[in-house]
Amino acid sequence: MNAILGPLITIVCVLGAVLTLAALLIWVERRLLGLWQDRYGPNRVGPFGLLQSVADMVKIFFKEDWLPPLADRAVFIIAPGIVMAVTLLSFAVVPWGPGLAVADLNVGLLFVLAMSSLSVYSVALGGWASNNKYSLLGSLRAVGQMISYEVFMGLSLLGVVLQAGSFNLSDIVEAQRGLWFCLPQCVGLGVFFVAALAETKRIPFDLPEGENELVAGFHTEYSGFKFAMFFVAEYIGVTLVSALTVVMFLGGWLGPWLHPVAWFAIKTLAVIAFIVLIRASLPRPRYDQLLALGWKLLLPLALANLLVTGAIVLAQGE
Amino acid sequence: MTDVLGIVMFVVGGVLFVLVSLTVGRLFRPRRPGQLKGEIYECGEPTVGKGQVQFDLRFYVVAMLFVIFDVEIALLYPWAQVFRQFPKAAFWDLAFFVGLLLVGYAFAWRYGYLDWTRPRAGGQADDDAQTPEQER
Amino acid sequence: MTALDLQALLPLVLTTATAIAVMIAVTITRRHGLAAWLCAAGLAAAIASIASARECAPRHISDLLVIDSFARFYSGLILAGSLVVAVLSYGYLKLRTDRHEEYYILLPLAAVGSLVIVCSANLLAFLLGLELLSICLFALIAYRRTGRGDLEAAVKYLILAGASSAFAVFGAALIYADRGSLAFGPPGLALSSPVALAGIAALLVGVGFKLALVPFHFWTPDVYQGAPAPIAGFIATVSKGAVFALALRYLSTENLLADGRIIWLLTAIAAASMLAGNLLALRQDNVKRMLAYSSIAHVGYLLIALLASASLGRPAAAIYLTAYFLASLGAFGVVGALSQPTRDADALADYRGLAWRRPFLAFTLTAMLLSLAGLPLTAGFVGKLSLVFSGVSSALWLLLSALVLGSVISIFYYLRLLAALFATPPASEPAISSPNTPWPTTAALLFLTVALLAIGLWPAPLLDLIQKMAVAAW
Repeated sequence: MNAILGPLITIVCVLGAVLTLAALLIWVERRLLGLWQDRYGPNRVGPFGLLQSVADMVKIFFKEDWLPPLADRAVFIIAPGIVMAVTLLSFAVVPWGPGLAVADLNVGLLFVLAMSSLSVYSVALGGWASNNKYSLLGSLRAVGQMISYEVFMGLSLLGVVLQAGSFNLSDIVEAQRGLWFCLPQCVGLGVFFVAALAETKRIPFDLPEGENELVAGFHTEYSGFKFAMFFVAEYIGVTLVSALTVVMFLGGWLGPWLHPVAWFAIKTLAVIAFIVLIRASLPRPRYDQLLALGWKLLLPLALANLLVTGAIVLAQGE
Repeated sequence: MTDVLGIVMFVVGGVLFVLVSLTVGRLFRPRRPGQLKGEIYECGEPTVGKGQVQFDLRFYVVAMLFVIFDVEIALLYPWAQVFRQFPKAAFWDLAFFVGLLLVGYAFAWRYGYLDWTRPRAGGQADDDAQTPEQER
Repeated sequence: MTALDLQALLPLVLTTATAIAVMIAVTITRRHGLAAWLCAAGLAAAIASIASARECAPRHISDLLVIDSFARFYSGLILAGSLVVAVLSYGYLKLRTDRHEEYYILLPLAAVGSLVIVCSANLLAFLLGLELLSICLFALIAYRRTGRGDLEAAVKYLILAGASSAFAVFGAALIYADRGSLAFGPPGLALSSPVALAGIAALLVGVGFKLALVPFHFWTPDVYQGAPAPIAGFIATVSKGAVFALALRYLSTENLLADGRIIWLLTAIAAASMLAGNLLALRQDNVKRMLAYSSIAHVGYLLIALLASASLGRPAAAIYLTAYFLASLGAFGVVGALSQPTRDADALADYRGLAWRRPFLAFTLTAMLLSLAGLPLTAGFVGKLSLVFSGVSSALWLLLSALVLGSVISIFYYLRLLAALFATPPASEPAISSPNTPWPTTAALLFLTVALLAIGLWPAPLLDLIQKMAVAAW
């Protein structure tokens, strides 16, 4: 096995797994929503409707790819590509098992945060390039929301970094061997989870595409495959934040009896299911409530968490 | 070194995937432009004015807050990394830094810069407070 | 960071603490008086701390800052200027905007920026200080938010300061590329290399903008006209004084004057500033614009001290700057005191017959104008005399003749305003019904006038102080 082929196989595996998972997630989410909301969900295409996503993909692939004539063409095309690319790239540093990551960067956490903040561009550019009022308002809301919650996301993870003493995601997992960080960092976990939900722009934080006021928000003018990119990227984003939650707070691949990768998959799927449950049960807040929640509750909480963690680590050292 | 190589290959792979999937479909897709399709979508109503409207300045305040606090996080990350090397100095530095930050934070909170709908600042007249709640 | 370092840094620390203290106070309660007094008290404490730190100089603090007697002298000048501006602003703001308090957060922060510039031993520190100063000034210039003029001035300043900062940063980058360090000195910046020369030139653009030297002076009249009168005074004195002190330090630590090209460049800029500033001021009916143009000329005069030999040039610069601080702040203080809530008293007509209506203000303004013109019995005379001495000793004949020519021209427009002051009041109502002067403004103006005349009549104590502080080698 030479230096090129090894990573290449990993990359193909990771890309394939992530994309399949994202596609499958669409079906999983709709079935789960059906379950929790006491209705069927997709059950026609294939056994249990399992092939629903495939059918959706085929349909979308053959749809006309409409470019609005008033749109800023280049930007309009690039925007969905950005979000797709950067969310996929974040997976490069996520460790699926011991030593199983495309790149075990020593600044892995910073890489993930950097990539996830880049996806703001996609939303902002897409909304502006559409030349549509709904798109613009939706994208502005999305940008305001995403940059706000990015701050809390970064702050909430500082406690974990402090405890683990490293940015390397594998090291962070290893540091949880005795005790998962979800207990000592429970405040951090709470803040991170809320911020992560807001970053993925999902219910209850789906104001950017609040369909009863903004049609579809920043992707109102998108159709065909470019729309699918925004759509799939959202599900990849859900997978990403679930995987991150697992790595940062739920002990990553650690667990008894089973294979580490299996543990990682089980935990990630559990978090995903929880996110879907939230979607099934919570209403959407107003925009002022959304910002107030972040700036007036999460920010002080995250700062206090950081100070307390620092004090505890200091006390332990002495 | 292999890590960097892995990242680079992953970047190339990701970007290629996006490019290929954006372009390959062109071979199969229909293309039927039309007069009505070209209009800006406003739920069937005739469009009014430009699509790229001037938007609310309040988003600017959010952006300012973001810049302030994100820079702070950029400072805190290296700090968290080296914390264990000098815990005592690092902790008091942090306490001082966060304390300083909280002064500004309290100021911003007191005068409504954290609110989407601004109250009248300090009980005095404020032009911004009269704007309607939703974006113009 | 030892205790001695902290003691040396005390002026900067106290000034920063002042800004924070005012911010805390404003967060708790909005009281104009409280904010103003906190600001003034903090600045006064910072001045006092300079005097207390006499022993521990010169000190290098982490490569970036150096606190020596030179830095301490100019720190004192800057802090005193800021204090006077704060006091003058109290009376000025009281009549105007309904939000006074943030002003007293920004003012000490701008002073900190100037202090960092004065104490910098490294281009990085200089750039940091420059940015801090500029950013506070953007907000301070537009502080009234009432007229179009304020915002226009602020935006002009924002754009031009941004552009000039970009030049300065680029210059610093080039210099770094050439010598691999941003620290000042040891001398020997290889000016033979085009990279370093380009770096110096770019840096000169940044500095020249802040000093409003001639090719970079276009913002001055508009900004002075649009800014609140005390802030115009601040820009004219504190901001320029800080950057000038830095230029003095940089030129001599790097020994740049050994290079003939730089001497010629500075000579040309200085002569152009003196002549253009004075000629443009000649035709101004707007007092603030006239003061703006005259400030261009004054910095031109100051460049003589920069080019003269160090032993005479440095004290001359210190004396001249002190006199200029007093006179400029006083003149802008009077403009502010005469101003109405709706507009500043900047028309020549506003001053017609002032001596009969407001004798104190008219007398103060007279003293300030005479000092600016450099007439005997005022501090300006002492300053100009020492400038001429330093110029003569270094045989800068071209600049000296420009100085003489400029001074002669300047007497015309200063006298024009003076004549208006003492003209018989027009039969009709005065063009401007100025409000009563609050006592802090009166006190500040009185202090400036007394200091101005005291230095003019008996300059020995100041000269002693300057010999001790502003000349010490670094």
